[in-house]
Amino acid sequence: MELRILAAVALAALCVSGCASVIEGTTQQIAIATQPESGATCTASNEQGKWSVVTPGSVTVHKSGSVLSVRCHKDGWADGTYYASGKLSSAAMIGAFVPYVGVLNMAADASSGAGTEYPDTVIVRLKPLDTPADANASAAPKDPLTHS
Amino acid sequence: MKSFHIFYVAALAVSLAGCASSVSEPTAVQALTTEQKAALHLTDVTADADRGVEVSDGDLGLICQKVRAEIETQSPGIFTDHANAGSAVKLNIHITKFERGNAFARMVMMGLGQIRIEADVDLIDRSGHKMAEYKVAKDFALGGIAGGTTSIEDVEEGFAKSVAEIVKAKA
Repeated sequence: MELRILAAVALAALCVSGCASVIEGTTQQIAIATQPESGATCTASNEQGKWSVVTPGSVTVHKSGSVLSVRCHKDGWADGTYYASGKLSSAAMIGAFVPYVGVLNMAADASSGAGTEYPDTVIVRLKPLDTPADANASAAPKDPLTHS
Repeated sequence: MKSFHIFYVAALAVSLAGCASSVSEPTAVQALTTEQKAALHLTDVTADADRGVEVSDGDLGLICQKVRAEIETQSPGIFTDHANAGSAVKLNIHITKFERGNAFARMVMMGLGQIRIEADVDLIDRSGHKMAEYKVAKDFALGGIAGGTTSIEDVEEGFAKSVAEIVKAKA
C-alpha cells in the first residue's frame, strides 16, 4: 500500500514538473565556432534572452521552442548568421507517453522550454568583406521582417 | 504479439511524420521557361511576411537557411557569389500564412490544430523586374502520435523542398 502511495506521489511530481525538465533541465550548453576565422564575437538569442561569446567558445542558453539565432561579427568580414530550431527532446518524447500524465508532461515541458533541444554545436560561416557593396549591405539597417 | 503491435504503431507514426517533409507541387502564376531555368543563377534567398502574419525574425531566417540548403542540394552550383553576373536573380519568399497549429489538438483529433505555411515565391532580376512567380503551400493535419510530435520546423523542411523544385532544372 505504501509503495502505491509513493509511486502515485512520484508520478504526480513528474507530471507537475515535466519529464524533460527533471531529466535534462531548462538550459543547454552550445559550442559555437566560426569558419574560416575564429575570434568573432557572436550573440546567440531566442525569446528567453541573449548570450555572447568569442569563438571558439560555448554559451549556456535557456531552452525554448523558438528559433535560436547566432549572429557573429568580426572586423573585415561580413556578419554571418545561423538559425537553429528546437527539436523535441527524447526525454520529452518519453514523458509524453507516460500513461495518464503524458499530456500534462508535454504541457509542463513545453511551457518551461525543457522539452526542446538545440544542436550541441553551431558553426557559423563568415565571408570576406572585400567589396564596397558588401560593406554597405552589412551596415545598412534591415527591415525587421526581411531576412536573407 | 503485443510487441508486434507496438512496433507496428511506432512504424506507422514514423512514416506518417514523414508526410510533414514531403514535397508539394508549386503552382505557377508566371512560370520560368525551360531556357530560363537552364541558364538560371541565384544571388540570394530572402524572406518577408504580410502585415498581420505572426512570424518571428528567427523563423524567417530559418526558412531562408533551409530553402538555400535544399536548393544547393538539388541544384548544385546554382548560387553565384558574383552579384554582377548578368542573369543572376534573387529568390524572394513572401509569407502569406504561417500557422503553427496546436500539437495537443492534433494529437486528440486529426484535422484539428493543423500547421500551415503559404507563400508567394518570386524570382527578381537585378533591375527589380519579376521574372517568375509561384505559389507554394504546405500543411500538416495528421492526428495521434505523429500529429503531437510534429512541429512547424518539420513542415518547413517540406516547404523548402517545394520551393527548391521551382529552380530545379528537370532532367
